[in-house]
Amino acid sequence: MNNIININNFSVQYYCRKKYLEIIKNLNLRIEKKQIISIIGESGSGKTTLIKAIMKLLPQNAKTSGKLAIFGKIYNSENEMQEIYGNKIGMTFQDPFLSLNPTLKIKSQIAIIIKKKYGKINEKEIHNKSYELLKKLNFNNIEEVLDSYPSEISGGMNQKINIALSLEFEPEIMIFDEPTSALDYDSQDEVIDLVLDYYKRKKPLIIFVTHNIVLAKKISDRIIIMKDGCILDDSPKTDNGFIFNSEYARLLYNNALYEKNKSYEIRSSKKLIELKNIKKNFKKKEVLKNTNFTLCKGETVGIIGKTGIGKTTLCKIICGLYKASEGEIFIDKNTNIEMVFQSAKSSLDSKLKIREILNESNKINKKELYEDKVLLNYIKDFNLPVDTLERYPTELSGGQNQKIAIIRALLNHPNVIIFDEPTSSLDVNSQKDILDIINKIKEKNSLSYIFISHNPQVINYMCNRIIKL
Amino acid sequence: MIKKIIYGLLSIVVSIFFINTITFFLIEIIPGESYDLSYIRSEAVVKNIEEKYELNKPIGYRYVKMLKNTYTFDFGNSFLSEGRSVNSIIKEHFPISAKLGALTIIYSFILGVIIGIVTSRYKILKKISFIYFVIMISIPNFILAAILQYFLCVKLNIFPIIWNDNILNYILPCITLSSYPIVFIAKLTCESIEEVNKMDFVLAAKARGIDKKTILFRYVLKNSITSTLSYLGTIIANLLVGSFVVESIFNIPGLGKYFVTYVMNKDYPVVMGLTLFYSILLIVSTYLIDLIVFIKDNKGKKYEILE
Amino acid sequence: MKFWSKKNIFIIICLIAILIFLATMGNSPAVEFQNSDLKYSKPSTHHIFGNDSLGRDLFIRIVYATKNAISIALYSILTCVFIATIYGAYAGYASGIAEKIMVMIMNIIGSIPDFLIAIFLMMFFNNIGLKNNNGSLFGIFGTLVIVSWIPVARVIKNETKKIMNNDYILYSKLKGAKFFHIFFHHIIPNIKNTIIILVIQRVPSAIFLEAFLSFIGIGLQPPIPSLGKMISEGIKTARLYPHLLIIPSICLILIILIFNIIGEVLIKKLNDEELKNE
Repeated sequence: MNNIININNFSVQYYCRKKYLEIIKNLNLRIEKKQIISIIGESGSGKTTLIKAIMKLLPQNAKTSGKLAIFGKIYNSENEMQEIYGNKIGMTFQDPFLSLNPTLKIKSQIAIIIKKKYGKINEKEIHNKSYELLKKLNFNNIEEVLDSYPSEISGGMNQKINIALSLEFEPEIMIFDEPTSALDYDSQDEVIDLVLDYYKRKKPLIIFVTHNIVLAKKISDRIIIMKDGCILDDSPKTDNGFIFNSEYARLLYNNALYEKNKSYEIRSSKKLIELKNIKKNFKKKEVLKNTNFTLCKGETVGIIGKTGIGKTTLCKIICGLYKASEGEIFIDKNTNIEMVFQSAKSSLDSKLKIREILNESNKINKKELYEDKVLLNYIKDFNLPVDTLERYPTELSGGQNQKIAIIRALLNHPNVIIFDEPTSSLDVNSQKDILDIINKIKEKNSLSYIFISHNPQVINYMCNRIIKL
Repeated sequence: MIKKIIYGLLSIVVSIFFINTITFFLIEIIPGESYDLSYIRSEAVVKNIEEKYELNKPIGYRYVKMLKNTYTFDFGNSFLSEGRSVNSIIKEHFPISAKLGALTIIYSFILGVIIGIVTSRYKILKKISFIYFVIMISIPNFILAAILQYFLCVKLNIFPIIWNDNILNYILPCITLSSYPIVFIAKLTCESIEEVNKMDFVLAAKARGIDKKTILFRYVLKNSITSTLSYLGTIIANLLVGSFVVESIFNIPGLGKYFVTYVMNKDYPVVMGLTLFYSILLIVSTYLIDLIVFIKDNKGKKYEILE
Repeated sequence: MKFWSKKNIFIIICLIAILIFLATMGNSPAVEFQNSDLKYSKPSTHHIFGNDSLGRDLFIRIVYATKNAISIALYSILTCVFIATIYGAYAGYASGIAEKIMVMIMNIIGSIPDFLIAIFLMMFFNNIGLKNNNGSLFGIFGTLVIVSWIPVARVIKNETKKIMNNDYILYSKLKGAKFFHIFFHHIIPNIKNTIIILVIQRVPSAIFLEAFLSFIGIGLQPPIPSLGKMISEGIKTARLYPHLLIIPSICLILIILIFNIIGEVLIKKLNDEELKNE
């Protein structure tokens, strides 16, 4: 058979405390040509498990069934794969800081690879070759990098070294697991260049796992879409781009969720919140510097910026949880602020029932608890199952949990709601759902919003005015 | 980084100060005399002793004097063994206990780590060792010492009963004292190996075809040693306490055996002095271990180290 | 959630009942009854385990000694965990100077070796002069509590810190919640399982510590029977009367073993449940 990779009826289960969790179900995949193939899927779709299964690097409690052949041969264990590790097949991992041994210096780790490749070689040669390897990656102070530990250099540099080390043996199959998702834009481009460069030189089979559809569109010859442990759709590149059959795949591919439909800015109106020249220091680190912020009635103001830049800190100052180190804060007298957080997992206590979660604010302030009737109204409005009040957050999906968080905010009849990346941890379908609900309730309850996100398209879709930190 | 060292040294000083104070006042509080001279018939002798050790001076004076003594490493003098200072007791008997302790630590670590590595590889061994572990930690060390001594020294006469300061004398007490630590070290090693094995950098190394030996030593073990190192502090504490019993049973003239004797004889100044000595030993060793673990953990971080 | 099923709660209530029963069992005079004719006798039909150096029936002594060991251990651990939970939870909740002080106190007290505390508490209580040397009971109880509470408090503090990192705590604080609300509504439900595991894990150590201290001689004083003391006396006469050493030893090993096994089983069960929920 000419198949490079042939997978038939393949399933992977994790044995976790007397329960078998099916991660991959009856998957079929055939790869015949050496090209760039992207596997796209949201978290939980099984893509990482699939490629680890191909590499036979699954954890000990994983059970596989079905046929998986590489170059026509079936390997049953890590030990059997030893003959093709590195020279025929290679893999890089997602988190750049976790991919290199944190307790060895860079030069030692490169030395191990070089010694393996060239056999008997003296110290000076090893140093020269290491130097050249880093030079090809366009590093500036190479000696310093060689003498450092992985945690002392940036994520981008880590990832590049990783890729370079894996490519040293020039494998015919190279798998990249989300190589760019943890990097900033500049490093992303450099990493992609490395990959494409290698492809041009050796024409290997490249399997590129990512959730960045734009990138996949750009570089792939074939796109495979996974959902819930199965391959949902599979399309080669045609003259008209990629063509998918399922609604989900098209949604994912086209990113057509967010067409800008709000372009007006709300003028006049009274100012509800105003912050001038805010400074905030945390133990000598200046998190916010000379930041200004205004929110007028009826607006949705978006805050966008990279991770760690201070968006959440700003909101905590607005809420009163933090005190600004310097600056003026004005909040209109009757303003009632509520907040919806990013991860439903940490914003709802998994040991409490939904009913208790919704009633918590009343309990704290010794007010009367809400009757079930009142709560059920909201539950119905939001399309949640009837028995939700009795359930625990772990029994509901991420999207449902976020809805609960929004209901919890609404119960207090606020006039301002701060949304801190409310959709980042949800899958594509739920994202659209939640954003639509957020828009729907705005008019009905005459709310003003502060919306934080790192996704420019979401911000564009939701906001009247955008502030960049 | 320097901040942490200074902070640590400061807390050592404060801890020792506290222990000194607490020890001193506790002895004062104990109903009855803090020294038991009732066996001495002669009034004159009693008066002599009281004067010599300034037992009649007010409490404040004695407290300050005692503090001063501690910082000049004078741990006091015994009442009952006339003329023997605690320092000389320590000098004579501590080296033996220290030898025993060092041997135990080395032995426990080597055996524990080996067992840990082996059990992490073979699932069956893990189940068997689990049963062995539960049984071993259920046997108190003094019972183990008693049994070993009875069977191997008394009945079968393989190991000597009398102390000769040769290696044979050290073997049985070493085995006894290490039974507990070996279990924990093996468990810790096994768990941390399993955890490290799942990490990306190990998988990446395997994917590059690096050989198993290198992966075991330079990737896996290097990263799992930290948790075992921190356990070292607990072992030292256990050894200090365990030495009392083991030395008594095997008739080893180490500090532990004498400590128990002095407690039984109510020779309080000695008890206090030795306790202080032990406490200082424990505090300093814990601090050093913390420091080593801290340095190892933060090897790569040149810049601001977050606490 | 499944762990707290009706069946399990029933079991826990039974255990508490046993505890109460153990505690109120006084010492029967049979423990002390000496029959000099039977000194050192081997096990017989009348006295199942034989008699000790003073002619006392070994079986009764062992029964009461075991009861003492278990009840002292259970009581001290329960008290200790109670104190440690409140202290640890507050230390985890607080930040800034309050937290630093609490941690410093833990470190300083924690650096005092256990035996020091044991010695002094024992010396203190033994010299007060309670009848029957009952003072030693308080001494051991106090020692066990003081010695064990710091590691437990540390674990609880760390767990609390993890809980405090969650957004729902932020929400509660936003709504004006103070320590008590957060403690009862968020911290306790989330560390329930940890607490149980801590209690179970420390009971064998407590039993061991009591036996150890009694063995050296600074634990429970006669006439209160203790397995450790019996073993230390048994060693002296081991050559001639091995049963005086072997029987208490086996008994002590057995109860520690049983608690260790219960501990492991419980830990496994609780862990299974934690993972199932993820």
